[in-house]
Amino acid sequence: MRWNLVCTLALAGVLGLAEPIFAGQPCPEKPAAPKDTVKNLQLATKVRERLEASGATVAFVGRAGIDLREFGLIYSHVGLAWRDHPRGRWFTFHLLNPCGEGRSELTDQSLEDFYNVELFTYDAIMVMPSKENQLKLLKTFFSPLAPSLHHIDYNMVSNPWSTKYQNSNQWVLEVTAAALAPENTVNNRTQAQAWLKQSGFVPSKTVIGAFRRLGSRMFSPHVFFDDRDGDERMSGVYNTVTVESIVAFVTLQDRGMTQETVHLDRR
Amino acid sequence: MQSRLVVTLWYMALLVAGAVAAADRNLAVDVSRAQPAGEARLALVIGNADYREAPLKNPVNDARAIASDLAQLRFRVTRLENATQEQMYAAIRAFGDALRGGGVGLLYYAGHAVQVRGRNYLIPVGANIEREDEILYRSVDANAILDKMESAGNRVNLMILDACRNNPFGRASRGLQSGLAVMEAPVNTLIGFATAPGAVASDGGGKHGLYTQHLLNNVSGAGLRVEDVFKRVRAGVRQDSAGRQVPWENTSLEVDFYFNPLPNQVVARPGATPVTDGFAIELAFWDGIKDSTDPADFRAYLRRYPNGQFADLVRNRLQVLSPPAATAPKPPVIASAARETPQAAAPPAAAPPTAAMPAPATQLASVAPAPGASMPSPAELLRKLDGPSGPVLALAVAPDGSVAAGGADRTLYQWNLTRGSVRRQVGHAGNINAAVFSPDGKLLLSGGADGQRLWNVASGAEVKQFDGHRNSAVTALSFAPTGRYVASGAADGEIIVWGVGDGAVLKRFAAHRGAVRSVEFSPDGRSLVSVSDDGEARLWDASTGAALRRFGAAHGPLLGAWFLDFGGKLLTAAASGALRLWDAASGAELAPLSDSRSPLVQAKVSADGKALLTAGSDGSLQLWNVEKRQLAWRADAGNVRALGVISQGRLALSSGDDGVLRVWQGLK
Repeated sequence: MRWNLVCTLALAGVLGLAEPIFAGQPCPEKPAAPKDTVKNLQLATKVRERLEASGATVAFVGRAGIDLREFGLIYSHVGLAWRDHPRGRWFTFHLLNPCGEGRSELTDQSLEDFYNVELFTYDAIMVMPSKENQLKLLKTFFSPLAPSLHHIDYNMVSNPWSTKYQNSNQWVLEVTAAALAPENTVNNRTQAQAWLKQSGFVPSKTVIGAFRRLGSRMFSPHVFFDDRDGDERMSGVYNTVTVESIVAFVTLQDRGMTQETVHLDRR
Repeated sequence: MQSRLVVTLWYMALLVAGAVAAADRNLAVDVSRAQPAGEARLALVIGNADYREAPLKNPVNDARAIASDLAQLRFRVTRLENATQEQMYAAIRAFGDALRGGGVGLLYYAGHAVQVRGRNYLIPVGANIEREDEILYRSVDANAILDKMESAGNRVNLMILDACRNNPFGRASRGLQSGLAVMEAPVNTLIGFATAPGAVASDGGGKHGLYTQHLLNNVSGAGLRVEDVFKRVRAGVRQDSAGRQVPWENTSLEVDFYFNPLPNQVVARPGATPVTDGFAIELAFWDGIKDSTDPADFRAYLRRYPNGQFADLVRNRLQVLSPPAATAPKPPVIASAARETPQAAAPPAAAPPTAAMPAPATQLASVAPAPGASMPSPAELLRKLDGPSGPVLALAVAPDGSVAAGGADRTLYQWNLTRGSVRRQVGHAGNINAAVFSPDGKLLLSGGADGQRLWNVASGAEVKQFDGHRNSAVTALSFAPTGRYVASGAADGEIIVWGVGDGAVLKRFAAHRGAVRSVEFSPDGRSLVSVSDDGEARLWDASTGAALRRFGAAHGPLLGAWFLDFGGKLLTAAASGALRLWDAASGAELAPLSDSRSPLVQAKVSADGKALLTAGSDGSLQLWNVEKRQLAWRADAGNVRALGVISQGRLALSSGDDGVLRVWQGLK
């Protein structure tokens, strides 16, 4: 579906609220224009080649769908890529937010489609966990537990420590928690968040001022702040799950992981 | 007696009605696969000729002629000539979106294409390709188009590639292979190639390329199925090229498609399956076999119509013609054998008098330990579950601990040990030799003499049948860790890897000289290990089917091989009793696990690799703690033909000729 490609971010959208929201546009990320498709495919091809060369079966992949430089971030959206072995293809599990709606759905897209959105920069990140953790992730993302950790009420700026909403990076993180935690530790979102807190996950801190908050609530159907406490609202500093915070957590948890990046010039 | 007469009269009425229906309609049409009248037809036709360095003469002419013919055949055609990469991608995206509305999709491409590392790339006009690696992103990946067509979910897709005329990148492509690579056709897709994989096609001396010329000659033939069109094209091209060019197709079509159907080759209402016609065909089938004395004829009927109008009659006839090894199925009964030692095991519960179909769920008796019971002997028989009326040949354990059994009575039994329920599923027309649950526990796959059947665990409904092994009985099954693929092994030594979603055969290879006794995907799904009566354990690449490694020859049949330690090690069990450990990467033998005290007849490892259960030819049963390399217990279990182990070795399961499932205390 067309809107599947449209706005697929979590914090990305979150943090990119400024321009799109003020423009009255609830969907910061757009489908790739035909002229961009070639470049996007080039990026996806590079990522696929690196993944193939790594020998991995499972990897986290990130894309840069929006300008997050003011927050010190590059990547906006994360997915779990997996090699479809008998067919030799790469696919990604990730969470999508239908454009202009306050709900989300899970999807299983080819790596090429994952990168075929309007990209702010042609940057990609790949995090290959250790073999042991790859197998745990594979098992969990394909188990009934993964969809059971999906929460349909979408909020670009969801609170990492609340189950009221969920954004896309948060879903990947919570399923990852279920995979990496000791067996039967994580069976629901509350347990996932508890284990993440206890295991040292540190969300990114982002500053969203009152004026921008007001704008986002007026124009966007998928931005809410009612899962935050008064302190956060007063300070305007919000904890959020970002690609970078997930990478940092996986690095902390998994000494055997490796990481690669790809950058293509815009020309 | 009276009811029998009524039933017979009813059948006769159906036969008459069906015969009339059959006479009115063309029985050659299998309406379940037939073409709906008026369904949408979309075509994307691309002809690329004006290449800077290697221009072609005919592709634009070819595209125009094909587009014209397709338009006359009611296709809505989008035609591109000398398209750039950007134009091709835009058109392909629009084509994919439009296909989501259903119907038939056809992509025709004439122009240059190249094969790079086993993938095919269509070359746009104006592509600035200086080096081989640039082909990947300056051309159009043919597989990506197939993915688009597959994901649209429409009824039929056709891809025609007249695209391997010569190598357009002489200076850039020394690493390229000539011709195009084999492409796997997604479900209900036909891919037509101008020439065989790896060969080069002619651009033609006339107005059209040789392949397209013959396509134009045949595509409008009235009443020709698409497969027949391509057969005629192949014959014509081969003849005109004196055998140098042989067109080739890869098809997974399960439904019929006619470019130019006769009136009786379409059904009136799209999507509707006229019951009368379906019955007419079933009736014709029945008419053809009703006087037969060959049981195979009746089994063939049951394979096709397991719940057909004549299924009960056919089963009765089969019983007369080939009495099964066991008596008629008993309703499942679950007996308790709480804290019963094997030596004191009670005989199987007596069979209740009659069979009821379908069997209602039966409550599991309590198996709480008797108060004050003394410590049992090391092997502790907890329960005996009755149900199968003959030898059990296959046991499977689901992630939630549910158990399935199948065997000579051709029925699958599923026990939920927690809830205490049992369900019986009928459908197989022969022995069930193997069974396995999908990793998520939602599907159950069974296989035997009559092929494979996939069942929905929650509903009990049959989801799919797979008969890829042709005339050889299925003997071993394994799900990939993703649950999206199955590896099946057969009595003739062949292994097939097939897709659960579309039933497509991805790989087929002659793996062993004897029957495949077990096949297992590695934990990452990248490879497979199989063992056989031929005494070999072999490791295979699941993607290519290539043989990767062989693990020391055993003297006599091997019973199984399993991955341990995240795929780093392999454990093999031989009929001789040898239990050996191997380094999966190098093939080196590690210190042996142990030796069974007697020759073995069965062996099974728990899904997590923590426990191994073996059955000896002397009637003994042994449970091993794999991590500690210790024998946990040994018991007398009698004749054993199938084994199972619940995750972490918590429970051990055995069954044999008496059809009783014995549940043993596992590792503590």
